[in-house]
Amino acid sequence: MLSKLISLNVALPVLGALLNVLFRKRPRAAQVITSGVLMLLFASSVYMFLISLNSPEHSYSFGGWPVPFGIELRMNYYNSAFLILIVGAALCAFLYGKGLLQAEMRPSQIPIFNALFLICVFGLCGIVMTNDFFNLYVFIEVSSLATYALVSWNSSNKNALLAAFHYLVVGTVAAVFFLIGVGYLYSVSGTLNISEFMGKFQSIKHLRPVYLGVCLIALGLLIKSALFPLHAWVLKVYKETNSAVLPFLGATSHKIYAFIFAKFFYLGLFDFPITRNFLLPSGLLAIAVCSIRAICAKNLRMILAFSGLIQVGYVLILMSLEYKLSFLLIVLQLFSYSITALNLFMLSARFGEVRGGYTLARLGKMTYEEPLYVILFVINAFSLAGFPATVGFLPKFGLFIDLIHNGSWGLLGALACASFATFIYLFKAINIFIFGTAPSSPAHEVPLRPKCFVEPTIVIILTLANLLVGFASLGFLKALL
Amino acid sequence: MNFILSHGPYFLCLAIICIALLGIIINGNYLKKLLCLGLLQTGTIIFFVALGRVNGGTPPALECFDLEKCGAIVDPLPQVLMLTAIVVGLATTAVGLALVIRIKQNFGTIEEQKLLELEKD
Amino acid sequence: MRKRVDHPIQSLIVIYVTRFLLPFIFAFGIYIQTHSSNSPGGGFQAGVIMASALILHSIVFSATSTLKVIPFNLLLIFACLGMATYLTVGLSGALFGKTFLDYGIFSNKFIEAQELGIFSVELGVGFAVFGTVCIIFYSFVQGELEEENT
Repeated sequence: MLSKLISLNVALPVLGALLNVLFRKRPRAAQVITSGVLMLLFASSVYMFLISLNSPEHSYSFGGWPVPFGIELRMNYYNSAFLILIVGAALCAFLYGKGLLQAEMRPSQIPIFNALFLICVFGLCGIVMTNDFFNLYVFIEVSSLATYALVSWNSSNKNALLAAFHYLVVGTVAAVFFLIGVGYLYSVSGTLNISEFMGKFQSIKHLRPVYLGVCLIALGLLIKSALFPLHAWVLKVYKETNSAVLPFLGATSHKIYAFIFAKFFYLGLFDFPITRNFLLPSGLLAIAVCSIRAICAKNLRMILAFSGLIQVGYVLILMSLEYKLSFLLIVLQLFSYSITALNLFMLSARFGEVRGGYTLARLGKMTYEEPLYVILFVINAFSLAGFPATVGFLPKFGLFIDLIHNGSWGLLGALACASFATFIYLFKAINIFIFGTAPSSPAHEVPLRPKCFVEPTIVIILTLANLLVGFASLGFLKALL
Repeated sequence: MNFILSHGPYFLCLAIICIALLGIIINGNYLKKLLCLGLLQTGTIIFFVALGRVNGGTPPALECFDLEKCGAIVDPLPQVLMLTAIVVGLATTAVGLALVIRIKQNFGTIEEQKLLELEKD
Repeated sequence: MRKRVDHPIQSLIVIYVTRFLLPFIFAFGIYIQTHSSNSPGGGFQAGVIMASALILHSIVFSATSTLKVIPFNLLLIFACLGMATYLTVGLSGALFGKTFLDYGIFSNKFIEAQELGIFSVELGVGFAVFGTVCIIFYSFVQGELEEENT
């Protein structure tokens, strides 16, 4: 059953993209096809997650070729959790963005957009499932190419093209570094399978090509996951891109690569002395600089972009702690951040659409037009900062408990300041939404697009799920303590 | 002589990759940046194909399926992987060129300095 | 003989040599496609060579005349057909209880099954690449095409 579901997961997005291209003259049929494909994918990924919680790791090889000869996909609980995340974010962003898309582009272009979207989902699903270095490179490039095209698609903002070109150059250079690293590792070990390579790793670790290969792989993945000094492309992309695409990108773009980096770390690939000295300072630097810049930011999208960059810092710090549940905490942290960021980006898309811009000066007194959305923004802001009874509480709580156990009070203080900074920058925005002054110049010559019923439904459902999981986790923690 | 044969390709691809990276950083013209990106991918391809070298190896043709006929064969796996990498390079170049065409249509220039000024508005 | 004034390239040598060579380029592409399991080359290379024949025709004679020979919708259908072939061959393995891209279902003898499987997959890839590269080229010259039509 699991094998059939994995083949479905591999084939269905591509089939959906194909059908979208064939139906490019019928946008309504294309929308129905894409929604159907995404819902099927979501159902199958939830089912895969439930199966993989109870059974050991499942290995799926293409063509039936045994592992050293063939490409292998692995299914375990963290891979399928990220699969749910990617497909769920795609589904929610797609359903939410339908109305935005119709306002943004001509009806004849919508099937092409859907096809690109599905190819991006396909690439990201492949990234989390695969267990082969070169297959990982191919999926990274597939999802990146689709993302470059999606990012550039903004009819009202020409700068999106420049952001997409910048992202293309940086992303391709990062992927090429990854590829050269894979080449070095292949030259020493003779195998491209990750598990088999890690089996040989301890005996070849002292060789210089392996060290160089691992460094290049780390460099490529860190550029792609936008660690602090290498993050400029994220800022440009998030500032200029289309509002229909941004929720999906905000939930999944560089966090997936941070997850892959963490996965390689926990498999033991970065088992060199320099790693211990590198992770903690980089993570703290990323959190510190991005928090300060988020506090000073004047654009709602930039605030949310910096919050995403802070998560990468959190992942690095969690990796540097030698706690046995660190990997679970990383998965929980990225998962909770992605759900919350999905909500926040969707809400900010509506705010920007109502006021015609994303700068905080234009977004004053948002409660006039969208009071419900402001309330949901407040709840999600609490979740992002890690308030109890929300889904963002559990990973932060786990982190703090571990730091208290180890007695690292300095790090605890620094991370508490970071959480406090999250409160500051988000509540600065909320302050302007509730108590600011509305801009005097009207934003629209044409009447505002009315909300489709789907949009508030999705955001309310996600926020309620957030709170539900948060309360459930509180109950779980009470039972534990 | 043997040193040049066995290590020459690696020096060549080191030179290509470094020149390409330098080109991406230095060039102001977006089209030239794309050219250097393609060159970077070519350097990587040469690196991978050179990895498969075996001393005294012959090309991996079908007659060499039974090794008594041919002796050692060059490793075919990196060559096959590089077929895929070439396709990826083609797709990246296509997307990049489409973006450059659109940038030229919308902004009127593809020089980085002028575009940075135009972007600020 | 057609008026040569609306061609982008006026030189007689180029026109005659292109007209002579185009079928050979296309045949070479088909040769590589059919020998994909026996010689260097395969679906991607064959698709690109066939597409380059079409693009050569577009460069020498204008793109509008090429589109009269092979309309854009046909190229789109080629690309989708190729991808659909690849997916069908891949999923047929998955449907019968084995994994994606398992060629064992085509025949009981191992080598025959692999040859059949690889041939059909490369056929799909060849069609898809041919369609896609031509579509990329036509998207690039879209502006010029619209100029010629107005």
